[in-house]
Amino acid sequence: MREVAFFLILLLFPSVSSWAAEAISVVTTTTDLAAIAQAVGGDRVKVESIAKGFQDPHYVEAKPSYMRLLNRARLLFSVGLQLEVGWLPLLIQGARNPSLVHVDLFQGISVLERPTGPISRAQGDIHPEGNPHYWLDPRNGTPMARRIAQELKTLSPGDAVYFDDRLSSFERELKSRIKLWEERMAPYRGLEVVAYHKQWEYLARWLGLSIIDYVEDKPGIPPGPRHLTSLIQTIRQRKVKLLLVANFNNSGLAQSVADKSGAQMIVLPASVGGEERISGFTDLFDSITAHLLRALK
Amino acid sequence: MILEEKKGLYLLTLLLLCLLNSLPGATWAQDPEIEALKDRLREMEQEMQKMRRQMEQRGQEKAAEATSRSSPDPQSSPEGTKTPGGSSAFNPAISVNGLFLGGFSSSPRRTRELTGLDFHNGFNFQEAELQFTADVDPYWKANFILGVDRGGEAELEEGYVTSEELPYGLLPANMSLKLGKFFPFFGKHNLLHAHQFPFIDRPLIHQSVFGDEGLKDPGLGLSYLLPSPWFSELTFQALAGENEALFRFPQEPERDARRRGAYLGHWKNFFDLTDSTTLEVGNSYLAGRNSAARHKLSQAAGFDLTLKWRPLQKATERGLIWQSEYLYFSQERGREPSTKGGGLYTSLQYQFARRWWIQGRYDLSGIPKFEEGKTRRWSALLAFVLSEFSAIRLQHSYTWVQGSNPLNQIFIQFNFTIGSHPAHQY
Repeated sequence: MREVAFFLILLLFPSVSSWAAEAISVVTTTTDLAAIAQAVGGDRVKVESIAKGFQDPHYVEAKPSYMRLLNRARLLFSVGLQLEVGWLPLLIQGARNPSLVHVDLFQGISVLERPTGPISRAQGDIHPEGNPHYWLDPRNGTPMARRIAQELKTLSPGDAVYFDDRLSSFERELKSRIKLWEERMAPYRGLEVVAYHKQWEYLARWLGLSIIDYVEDKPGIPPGPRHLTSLIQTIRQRKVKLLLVANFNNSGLAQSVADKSGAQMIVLPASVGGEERISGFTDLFDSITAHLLRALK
Repeated sequence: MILEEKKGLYLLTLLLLCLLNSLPGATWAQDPEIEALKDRLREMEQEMQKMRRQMEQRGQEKAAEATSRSSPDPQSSPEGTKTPGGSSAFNPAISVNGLFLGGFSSSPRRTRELTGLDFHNGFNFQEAELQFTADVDPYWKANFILGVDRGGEAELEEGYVTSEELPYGLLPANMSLKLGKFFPFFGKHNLLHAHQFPFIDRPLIHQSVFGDEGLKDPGLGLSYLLPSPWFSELTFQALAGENEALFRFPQEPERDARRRGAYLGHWKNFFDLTDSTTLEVGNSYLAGRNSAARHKLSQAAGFDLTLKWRPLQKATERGLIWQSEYLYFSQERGREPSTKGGGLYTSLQYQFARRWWIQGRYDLSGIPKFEEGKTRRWSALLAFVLSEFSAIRLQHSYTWVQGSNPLNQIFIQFNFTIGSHPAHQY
């Protein structure tokens, strides 16, 4: 009799079992944040990223379908520092979801290139709050993961131990990988390189590379011929070996600079998902360091 | 300053720790608890030193943005709060847009009639728009757009607040509320300000149905996001019904100047066909009492279809937009027969390089027939977009009006924006 009653109750509440196991729905603006959130959240979260890994996160379009995505989400993680300023505010407004918790992940990170003097658009698309590409220093993965874990624990205190476990194993793995990458890249400390966009500052600071010039002399503005000529001269004079380009930059222009100057253009993934085999946060730096090492050999 | 204070605090603590360490240790050394404490203190000391190093390093970074080698672990640095805005923190975000229009027309008078532009052969100031945007409080976001025309006359183009959440749950879930004077949600083109127009002039049918100023009205509206597996939104707006072209008959003596209000419904559907291709389909309907005797009915209905393609990996280099709208209207009148008509435009915009767009548009008015007959227009446009904030556009239009000479016109427009960076509507 008791079993029958139990069965009836189960029938009456068919959603109970699924409800208990329901994952927290997390949306991130970029795939890097999604990879970290997935690593920390495990099977207790359902993570979706708005931007794809091979897409320039500055130029995402505010498609209404993303509003729908945010309408159903509990948590939104973004890079902040005005990286997403051209599209995220519209998405949040269109989502009509007042209970959505929105967290910028740059807290706890030492931000580079915060403008100290007066700024104007004559300098191009500069970020008034500093360079937002901080996920490209793997050491920043730890504060980002900690912040994500903190938010997940707030939403689901019952899973706190689970999240903490996953957080510490993420940190442990990252730490050991960082050591490995640093050892491999150690011979190239102080190496001078040029880059397409002001995107590799955090990576360069981490690896001790020095970016001496850019294809885009003003961020976000296509360069003029005068700058390109002087860039080519600089590369030749200082015997710069590498030109770093993200896989969504104008590689045609970068290639012509490389051809004329003798530098080698290397196309780097700037985010998780930037290449097919990069699915986790550590994969990104496996790939970046592999690209660099291959080019430097 | 805070940095300096903290540094001072750390130094003081360090000093204390040194003092503690230099105390005569012999009598204490036996106690394992004390030993553990000392170890802990030593750890703390190291920690402090590490922090101090970080603070100093960050100070250097701030002074000169040099790429410093072998920087210490950045994990524990407490920086990263939003830039304090000081006294300007609560000021609205302001942007100003300027439009300069030059051109030549085979008949400037007819160009003025057909486009609603204050057009003269030669080069002229077209319009300036000032936009102010800010959060009012946790519940409302306000937006004011002021237009100043060639004669220096200013008009509030839009001035409204929107909300997604109100206290006491006054606004149900998945709803947003809009209140003020705004461009009612009729189709696609009617939502645009002059500097956002894909072509320099409005589509012909919009010009015929809503007049020179387009449809803008005081009112209030609710939008509801449907729980469908694709983006689907229903909008209902109650409006004052002030539009001159649809609700007023300036050529007739007004029998009753009182407004009777108008109602608008819009259903927007949006589909991601692929990562780079989207389709939007919309239906609009507007009805209200007009100024004819006994307040007859004026109605407008619209259908819009927009296909967009932009490859994600070349988002700044390539793009394609195919947009079409069909509008139909009818106005019942007192003793005269009612006026009705319809028309469409279809336009193709193709971005073939980072700074270049080539565009074409075909306008057809008079399906079904207008009183004044059919009008056809071909337009071609080349846009040179220097940056997100300035563009130069050249447009040629050939207009064929039933029963009169064809009209040729060439426009060149300079469009620039200063001030805050507005997010781009899709």
